[in-house]
Amino acid sequence: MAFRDTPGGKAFLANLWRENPVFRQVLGICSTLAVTNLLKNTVLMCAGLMFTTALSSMTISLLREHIPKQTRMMVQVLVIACYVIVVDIAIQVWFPEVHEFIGPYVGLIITNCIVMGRCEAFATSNPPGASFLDGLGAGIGYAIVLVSIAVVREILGFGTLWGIALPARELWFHQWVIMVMPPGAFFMLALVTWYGNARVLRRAEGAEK
Amino acid sequence: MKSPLYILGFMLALAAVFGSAVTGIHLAGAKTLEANRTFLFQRSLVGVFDLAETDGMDAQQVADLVQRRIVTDKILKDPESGWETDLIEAYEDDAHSKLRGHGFRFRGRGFWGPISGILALTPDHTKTLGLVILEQKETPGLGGRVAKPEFTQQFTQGILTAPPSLGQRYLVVCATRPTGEDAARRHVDGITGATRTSIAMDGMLNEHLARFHRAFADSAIPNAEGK
Repeated sequence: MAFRDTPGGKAFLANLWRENPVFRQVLGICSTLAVTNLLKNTVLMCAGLMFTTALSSMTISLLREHIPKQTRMMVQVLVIACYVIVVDIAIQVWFPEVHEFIGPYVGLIITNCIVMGRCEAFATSNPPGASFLDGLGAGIGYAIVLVSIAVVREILGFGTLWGIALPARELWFHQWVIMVMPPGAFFMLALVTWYGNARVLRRAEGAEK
Repeated sequence: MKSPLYILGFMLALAAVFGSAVTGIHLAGAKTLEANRTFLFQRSLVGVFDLAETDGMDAQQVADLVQRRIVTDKILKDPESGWETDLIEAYEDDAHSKLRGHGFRFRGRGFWGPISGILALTPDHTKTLGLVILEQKETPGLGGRVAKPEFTQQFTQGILTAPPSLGQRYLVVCATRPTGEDAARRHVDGITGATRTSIAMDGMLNEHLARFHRAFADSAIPNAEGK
């Protein structure tokens, strides 16, 4: 059986684009606005979210037969919070300087709806391997959108990419202050959502015909 | 339908397992975390007094330099506000024969959260030697530039911090350089696009400079001028 025909493979691929958590499901918007003005911060935030989404989905799936229905959300928050603390400690240990800038946002992964959304929608009724892939796919789908936004915002807001000044920056660069501020992310997110939805819907229409 | 006892037991067991795991990971990393924090602080101390170029130095070299050249065993107290701070004394040599400058920690409210740092002054307290930001939660790329060299390097240029004339401020953090020689020498270029952060820095630096000057005058510690 090909990877894309397995339940995990299907979920993984769907989350990348067709069911992208950001522009199709409109989840995880807060951090999209908060961290996307610098590419380095965005990439670390996305790595943290991928780790948390994949492992919390797998853990919830492993426990799914034993979790009481009444307390499933409490269990999900507990599991997610533990993985987020692990991410936070890891960044503090290995990237202490970066942690000074993105530390406040890492804690917010706990409240990211994508993580709990995948636990609730997929992991509670699927096996651990498929749940891991589903969570990983959702994390990568989130990263695709955030990194695209961050690239544009950092170039227009700072004239840099990954903190490195672009060629002949002094000649062409004039700072777009709005791209540095959260409203800049609103505009970028709207454009990405429009583009992404238009592509997905057009493809779906084409398939129907 | 699970029984209430099962639910309670399950939740307790889960909390115990995950709580222990997180505590274990935290304890395992505690030493490194503390070492990282100490290293960042000590590197800031070396940087703010410009004692050495820290880029190629490891944590042990920075710690040795701090131990040899920096003393923080005296406490200053402002008689007016009751503000207390450790006096940071930096020396140019290991024998402590030549004072490089004095420094103190400041802390205040920024736009989004607290801002804290260290301000270093010349031995006679009339000019700045450097400024380093230890903590800030300002908007990355705007107010966050308060911790970047484009803002902090201005303080290495010797901005005037001698007590000003009545009604004037020690420092003026704003966008336009004021007219008048004395005012111009007290001017710090504000951060474009972060007016609230600039105003906050202006307020907290002036407040702490006033406290520091009063506290030092009230202490028995001699400065470069013998007082």
